[in-house]
Formats: sequence, structure tokens, C-alpha cells
Amino acid sequence: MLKALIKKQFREIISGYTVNKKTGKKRSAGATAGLVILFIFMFASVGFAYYGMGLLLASSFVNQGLSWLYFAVMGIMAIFLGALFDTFSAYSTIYCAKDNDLLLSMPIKPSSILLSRMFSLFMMGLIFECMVFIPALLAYITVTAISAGAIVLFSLSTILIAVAVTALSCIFGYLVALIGSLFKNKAFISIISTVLILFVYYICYFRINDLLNGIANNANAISNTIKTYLYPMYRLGMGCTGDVPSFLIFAAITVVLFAVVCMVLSRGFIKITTGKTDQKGGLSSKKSIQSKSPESALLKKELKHFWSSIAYMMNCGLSLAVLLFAAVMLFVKSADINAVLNEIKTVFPQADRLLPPLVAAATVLVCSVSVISSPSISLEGNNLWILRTSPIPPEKVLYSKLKLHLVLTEIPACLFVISAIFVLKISLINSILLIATVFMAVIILGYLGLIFNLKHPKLEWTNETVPVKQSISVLFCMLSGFATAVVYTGLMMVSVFVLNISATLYMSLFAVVFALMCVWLDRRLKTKGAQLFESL
Amino acid sequence: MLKIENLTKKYGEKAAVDHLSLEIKSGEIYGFIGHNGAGKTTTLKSVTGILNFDEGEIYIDGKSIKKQPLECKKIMAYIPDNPDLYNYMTGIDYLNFIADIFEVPQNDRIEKINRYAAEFEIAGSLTASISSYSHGMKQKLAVISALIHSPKLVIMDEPFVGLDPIASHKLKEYMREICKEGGAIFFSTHVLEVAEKLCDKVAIIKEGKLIKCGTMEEVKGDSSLESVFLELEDNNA
Repeated sequence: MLKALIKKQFREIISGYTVNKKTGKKRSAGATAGLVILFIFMFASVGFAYYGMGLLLASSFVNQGLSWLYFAVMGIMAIFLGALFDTFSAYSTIYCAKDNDLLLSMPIKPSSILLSRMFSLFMMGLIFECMVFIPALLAYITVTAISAGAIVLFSLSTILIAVAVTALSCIFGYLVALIGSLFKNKAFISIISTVLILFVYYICYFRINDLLNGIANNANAISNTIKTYLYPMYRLGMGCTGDVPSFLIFAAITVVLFAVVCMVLSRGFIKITTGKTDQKGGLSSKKSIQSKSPESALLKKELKHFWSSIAYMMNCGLSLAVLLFAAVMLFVKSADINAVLNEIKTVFPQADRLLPPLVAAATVLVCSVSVISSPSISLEGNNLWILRTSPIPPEKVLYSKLKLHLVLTEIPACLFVISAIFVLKISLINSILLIATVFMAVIILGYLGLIFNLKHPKLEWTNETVPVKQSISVLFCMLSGFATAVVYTGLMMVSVFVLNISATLYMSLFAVVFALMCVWLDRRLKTKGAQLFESL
Repeated sequence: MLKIENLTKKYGEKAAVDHLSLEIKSGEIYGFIGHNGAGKTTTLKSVTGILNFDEGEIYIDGKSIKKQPLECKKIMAYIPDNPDLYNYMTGIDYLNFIADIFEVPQNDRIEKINRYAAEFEIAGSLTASISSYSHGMKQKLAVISALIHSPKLVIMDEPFVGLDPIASHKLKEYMREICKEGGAIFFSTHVLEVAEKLCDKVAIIKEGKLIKCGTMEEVKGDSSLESVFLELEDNNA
């Protein structure tokens, strides 16, 4: 039974990448290979950053004879990253799957349904965790030799960490579900939990260098702390260095944790899954029935969907929180930032000129992490018939999705840019160009998100995490944003240093290019995009 | 009101609907019956503009669904076999959304929502989230949303599934009311007794092809619709 359910979950994950949902046919070998290459590229990009961290820590700890501490610290990072990203999916994967009712009506134990859902989380957690833990091993091997036995135990520990990640993210998902079942508006709970998670994440992210240096310089104190308060991580670290008893202890702790989580979750699974927050109300009054234009109604519908969907908001609203947080931090840390910049300018006088285009590239990079429009068509799912039978031109439907992206992204992006303009004292002309560049780049990303989603729709899904997190359109859009930022920065370097073009002229030229792209994409959306929507 | 000419819709090599022609006049309730997979839903979805078709033409009140889809959709309503609605909305939000899309005036929508909600006994649940609705409640909401803009043509796919007897009775009344006011109804059903009592005309489809159509008397004669249907199914096997 469990095997069949896991197979179903696995098929669901894999089919998103190997089967064209429109035709129902398998993707060509070339398309699949292209996707694999893209994944490898993403994996390598993130892994490279963790490899750098690993080198710093490994060289320090190995010299002090604290190899176990290195693996323990990298293990903590892997669990943190895995649990952080898995948590975003845990709630919707476990409790909001569309086929929960169907499966619960069958002679299947709730624990089996739960375990099969947890398998999806395990797979995702494993991928995120490996982005940290595999580069950690490579960094360790770069610094010192490692025995074959230790590599075997390291590999097994990697799987065990993914099990721990799954258990931890499920605990969080359970808490969200439990609290959410008490409230009418589950989105409120998700907002609070998202903010809390992001707060912890960004505190760690912005202090990563301090943290790494602190860890490297206080190895002995930290090793004692880990031994006392994070005993399983001590055993993990020891296990990765080849200590079999430690590995077995870590394995036992992980398995017990997982078993306890499964037991607790399976008890409340039916109650939470089938729990309804019905709210009886009176007959409709004038207050609750307000007429709007079709365009406003469509935008309101999109906003309602965004704020009510935990998966959508958590995964696609990430960059908005980052930008707002960064905008505030720029002001708070303006004195420090300007001091660092002044130091840089003494060594590199041209830095001043490069700031506006660099701010533009950085903003585009952050915005591309979560393009709200890219899963918006797929999220219609089985409800698509409502829009398809409505007397609304397809382009208006598409514009409503674009507007959602713009309304939610442009404001934080512009706030960040304005904050940067004031803190970095950017000239008026460059400020105008900077705002225009970012404004248009966000529009371009919105258009691209929609076009990619129209070309690669994923309308069949059992929970919203699938179109939001596991879809090609989202991946393509994200990579397009990254590529835009990289190309923009690369060409700027060439233009300023090789061709001797001023940064202002460069930004002006790119603003024109972006404007033309906006016009072209708008036409594309109205014509080809509308056609694709009609054929969904 | 509805004219289907040589409608052909293929999925790969297989024709789900094969050169089907049908005409429904104002004031008619037209039943559409056939076994599972006969092509009923494909036909209904093609009529509503959800599905693109390969050959033929569909006219709604004289306008082509291919060439003037928006004009056609403005006067039409569709109730699917499985009412998948926006679970993130409340019932009242959904009705308001549909009323906005069809540009129903404020006072008109208040009056209609209140009337239909009371008659279908769903008024007390309109402020609850659709995700908490039962299948029947969703079906009622889908029915109300279909009626809210006073459509001239209503396309329904198994509309009575999930509805309680009172709601079924109300829906039949509204179907007759629409026809009395010059509209038309085209609906599929497996409940032949309902089709027999309710429809002015009936069409029987098998493997994508229309095998019989006409007034109820022409199709069934002196026997029951069920026996005619079973006989036709056997003859064409």
C-alpha cells in the first residue's frame, strides 16, 4: 500500500518535468536533458557558495584537530537550509493535497498517506540539504584526506539528515495546520510564520561572515556547546569522520525523532485534513455585495488567491520581504555602508560610477527569485473553466495576473531602490535611470513569467506547491532573471572599462532596450499569449 | 438560439465528437443523453468555448463561438459536471466576482443573490469559505452563479448530481422560467426519467455521433425514453 502511494507521489514529482501537460506526451530527450543541465547549474551555483564556506571552516577546524566540529557545523547548516525550504511546502503538501479526501475514503491507513506525503518532503529536503552537505565533503577532501569508511558513513548521514529535515519541517507544518484550523483566515497564520522564518533566515544570512569567523575563531567553545546542547550534531560530526558508534547513535536519534513525528502527526491527520472552519452568516447585504469593473474583480480575485495560499505566498513572496528588509537595513546601516564604500573608493575610484547599475542588477537578481506571475496560470488548475466561460478577453485575464505581480513587486523594489538612492547619494539623472531600469525589469519578469507559464502550464496538481515550486515555468523565469542581472553586470563592466562608456550612458541604453522589450513582450502576450490561453 | 453544424473534435486520432449537428430554438429545453465517454461533455465544452474544435461551427444566437466568443459568452452560462470553484473565496465573494465579470448592476445582483440564495437554501452559508462547502452546496453556488446574469442559453453538464430534491425542483422551475422568457437550455443527463419529464427535445449521442434527435414524442413514441435509449445503444453496438 505504502509503496503504491509513494510511487504515486514520485510520479507526481517526476511527471512535472518529463511529461508535457498540454499534450500528455513525454518530453523529448533534448528537453529533459536541458532541464537536467539547468538543475545541475542551479545546484552547482548554490553548492559553490557553500564550498567556499566549507573551505574556510575546514582549514580552521582540521588544523585544530576538530574535524568532527566541521561536519557538525555543516550539518547544522544543511538541516537549517533543508528545513527552511521544506517548511514552506510541508503544510500544503501534507494537509492541503487535493486527493486527501479521495485517499481517506479508501481503505488506507492515514499514517500511510502521511508517510507518502512525507516522502515528497524527504526528496525535496534531500536536494536542498545536498546543496550544502556534498560541497562540505568536497571542501573537506580539498583540505585533508578522508578514509573510505568515513565517506560511506558520510553518505549514510546525508540520508539521515534528510530524514531529520523532513521530521522538523513536518513539526512546523503541523503547528501551522493546528493553529490554522482554529482560525478562519489560515493565511494570517502563514504570514506570521513566514515572517518569523524569514526573520531568522535573514538574520543568519546577513551575519554569515561574522558567524563563520566567530565559529572559526571560537572552535573550542563551540565544540563544547554542541556537545552539551546539540548532542545529536556532535554524534553526526563524529560519525562523518568515520566513528561507527557515533554514527549509530545519530541514526538512532534521527529514527526515533522521525517515528515520534509520524506518530503524533498521524493522530491528528484526519482531524486537521477534514477540519472545516464553517462560518455561518446572514443574508447578503449591500455591504458585502459591491460592484466593480471586471478588471478590478479579476485583480481582486488574484490578490485574494495570493493572500490565501500559503504555498503561493511563501514561495513567491520571498523577494518582497527581502527587498523591504533590505530597504530598511540600508537606512539603518547607512553609516557603515558609506564607510565601507569610502574605503573601496580610495583603492578603486571608479566604484562610485558603478554603484547605480550594480544596485539595478542586485534588485533584478532579488526580484527574479520569486516571480509571482510564473505559476499564476497553473494555479487556476481545475477552476480554469470559470475564466474560460467568462465574457472576458484572454488578454484581460493575463493582465490581471501581470498586475498582481506588478502591484506586489514594484512597490518593494522601488522602495529598495529609493532607499539605495538616498543612502548611496546617487545623482538625479542616475536615480531616474535606476528607477526606470528596475521598474521595467520587474515588468519584463512579469511578462516572462506569464509567457513561460502559458507555454508550460501545469494544471493538474494535487497541492499548490506543485505549480509554485516544481514547475518549469518558475525555474525558467528565475533563471531568466538571474541571466538578466548577470548579462547587465557583465556588459556594464565591458562598456565602462573596455569601451569607456559612462555608466549613465550605459544605463540609458539599457533603459531603451528594456522599454523595447516591454513593448515586444506586451505584443507577444496579447497575441501568442492570448492564443495559448485559449488553447489551455 | 444554439446551432451546432458538423462539430468534430478529435483527441489524437480518435474523434470524440464526429460531425455532430444540432439546433436548439428559443424556448426549448434540450436533453443530451449518451453513455459515459459518448462525447457529451466534449460537445458541451465546445459549445461554451472551453474546448477548441477541429471542424464545424457553433452559433449562439446567430454568433459564431469561434469568431465572436465574448459576445456568445455574455449571453450564456455553463454549469460543469464537477463544480470546481475558487476555494479561497467565500460564497458571496464568488457570486460577486461572477456578477462583476458579467457586469450585473449593483441593485440587480443584490436582489438576485438574495432571492436565489434563499430559494436554494444557501443564504446562511454564503459568508463561509467555499472550501468548507459540500458537493451539493458547491453545485447550488454554481447554479446561482449561472443564473445571476440572466443568461439566454444555459449549458449544463449533469446539473442535478449532488442537488437535494428541493434544489433539483427549484432548478427545474428556473429552467422552465428561462425558456418561458425566450431562453434555451441544453443539458446532459444520465437520469432518463428527468429528461423524459423535463425536455421538449432530446438528442442521443453514441461514440461521438448523433444517433437520434427530435421532440420527445418523435424519439420515444409510445415507449419510454429508457427503452428507446437501450434499444438504440444495442442497435448501434
